[in-house]
Amino acid sequence: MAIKKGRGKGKILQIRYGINPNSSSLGADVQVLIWGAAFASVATIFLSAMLRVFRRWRGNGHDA
Amino acid sequence: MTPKYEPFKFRYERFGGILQLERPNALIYVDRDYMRDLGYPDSPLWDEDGSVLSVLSAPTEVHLALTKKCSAGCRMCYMDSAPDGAGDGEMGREGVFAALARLAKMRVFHLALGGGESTELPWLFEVAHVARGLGMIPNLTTNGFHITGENAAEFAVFGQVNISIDGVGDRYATHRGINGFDRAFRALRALKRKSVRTGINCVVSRHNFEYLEEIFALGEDVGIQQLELLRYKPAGRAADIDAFLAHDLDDDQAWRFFPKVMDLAKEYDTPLAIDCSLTPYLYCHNPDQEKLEFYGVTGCHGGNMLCGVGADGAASACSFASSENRTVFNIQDWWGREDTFFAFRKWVDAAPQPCASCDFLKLCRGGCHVVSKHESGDIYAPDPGCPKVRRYNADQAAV
Repeated sequence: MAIKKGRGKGKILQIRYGINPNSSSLGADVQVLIWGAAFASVATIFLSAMLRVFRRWRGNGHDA
Repeated sequence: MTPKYEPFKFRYERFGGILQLERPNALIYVDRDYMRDLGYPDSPLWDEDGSVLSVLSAPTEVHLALTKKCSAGCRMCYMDSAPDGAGDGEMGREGVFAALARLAKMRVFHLALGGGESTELPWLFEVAHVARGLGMIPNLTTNGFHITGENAAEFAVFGQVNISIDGVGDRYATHRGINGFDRAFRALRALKRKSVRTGINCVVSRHNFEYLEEIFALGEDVGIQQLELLRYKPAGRAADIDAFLAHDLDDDQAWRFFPKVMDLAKEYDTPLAIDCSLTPYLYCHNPDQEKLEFYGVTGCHGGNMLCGVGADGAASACSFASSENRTVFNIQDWWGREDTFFAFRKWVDAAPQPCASCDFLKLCRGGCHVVSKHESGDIYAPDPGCPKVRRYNADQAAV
């Protein structure tokens, strides 16, 4: 189900939402199973846009 | 002190890279072309093959026990913590700082700080701020007994604070043998008043299964960011007090678990997470595999996405597994070795029936290996709690 982003090349392979404060085992956010396809797509596009904005903000090489 | 937030972080992986956002919080796995398109130069790691399900260059999260000291004395504590639990062998403040430096160098994203009860340590916030300064998100699991209106604001340094509550009112004591509900509830309220991201960790067993709705209602009432349901684990004092299967969900509950909690999550509008050992209870209902993989709703990735570190610095595939004589202080030397956490990383290759023929093997990875080892002595045995395994075993017994 890898999702190709709107422009440019490359794919998002997996998105793991949420934080796992539980210090004994891995947590999986199952809220996403409730989401409809349209909402999930919008969320992915939103994240993609945020990545681009933050990347531009940090600048090439700054955080490498 | 104002917490330093790292809104964006990345690291290379064989398949491409992992990008982290904190608000909204997500780890986003992308391929090499995506990384290039964002302007990142090629990595030497890309000379090797790898998928999102193969061994990572480092854990994405580390579970770090800061101490074994805890004054609560819960009956089922899987860490076997005690008021005098802190021994000479613990890392202590300086040791924890040294561990953090090594984990940061590997570009670990998240820390789950626990214990013992780490809020009993005078240097807990120092640890959290150091982790922030090193670019990692510190998260916290606590009983909440030491969180008050006066100190609640300090917990904003954490990405999220989850308070352990297994039942409402008197049912809090079901597993723990002590009733700390009022103190835990006050802590939830205090954190929410200071806008700290807050959740509830709830251990699910056959004894509180029928009362889970009360926890969801509590979550909605307080306005928590997450309810995380955890399976009862046979470790520490929980391994000794009774037969584990007397606590694990019964056959009927095991099949009803996932539909029930999803219905409750919708009804009470409570963001829901389940721990890796509960995923067999989801997979038995044959959900959309592509969707599960894309959103990382996967089973045991102990020793890969996750590394457990005890209060003495011993490293293990997860908090319940043995350390195999490795420590966090030289994690860079052994993490990438073929034999590291071999049983956890390669479990799928040696999967027995019925797991070997299960459509969800790649995602599930055999349920909880710690449960398997506890019940059968064999880490490669199927998880006896999995509803499909239960049915398989019943069929085999009937032949």
